Amino acid sequence: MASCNHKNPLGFAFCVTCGEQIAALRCPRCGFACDQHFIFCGGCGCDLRLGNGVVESLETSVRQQMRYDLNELMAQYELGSSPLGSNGKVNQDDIRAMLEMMQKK
Amino acid sequence: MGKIRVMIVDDQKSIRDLLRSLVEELGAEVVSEACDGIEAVELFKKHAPDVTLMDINMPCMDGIEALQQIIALNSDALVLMLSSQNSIEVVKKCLTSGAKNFILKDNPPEVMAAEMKATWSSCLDLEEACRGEL
Repeated sequence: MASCNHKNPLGFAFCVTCGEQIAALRCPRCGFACDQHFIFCGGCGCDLRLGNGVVESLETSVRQQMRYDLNELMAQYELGSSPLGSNGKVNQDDIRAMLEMMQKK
Repeated sequence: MGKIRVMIVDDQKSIRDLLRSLVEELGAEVVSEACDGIEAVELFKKHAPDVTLMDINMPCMDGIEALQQIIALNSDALVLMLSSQNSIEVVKKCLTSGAKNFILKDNPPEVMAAEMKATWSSCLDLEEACRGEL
């Protein structure tokens, strides 16, 4: 949900009233896109309530997206088809992931 | 195997002192210290350290250039970059130039030490294993 509290339809990337980017939460069991007010996953019925350790935090979600971008960038770089990322910043976990990827190649 | 011989390259003495204490806590030995890339390359030729801890932003010659010159001298050189620069481009440039790891200086000292040890342990164990096969 956006900070203006408007309930946007599921799957929307930006709030239609305030323009804020909406973080997509995904069910940790099946990957179904869930809205923040969901108690149970619409895809598999998994209990999404905090405290059960199953709700993915916004930070984790963003981090996973970043990891995906890193992998994409790395693959493109290995193929020589793309310059490296523009404003991407990495942390030590990302660097470990990059090293693992390079070792696998 | 004897103590791992380490060279520290950083233009700030306070950072060199911190790295020296971490290296020594890990049971390794600091064989030389350099404060810029040119000195690092010269001391690498002279001491042939097992591990080089390399800063990036330094006067005269930066750490990436020094890394590339060291790798040109010895493609198996074990160079770990240490920097506060967390841009993906800088990290990739270092890793693709032959650095074995890139450790962010923003990490707590214990994380930096763990990264150093994990990298040199895996690389040096691999070298030992390869020598054993010959």
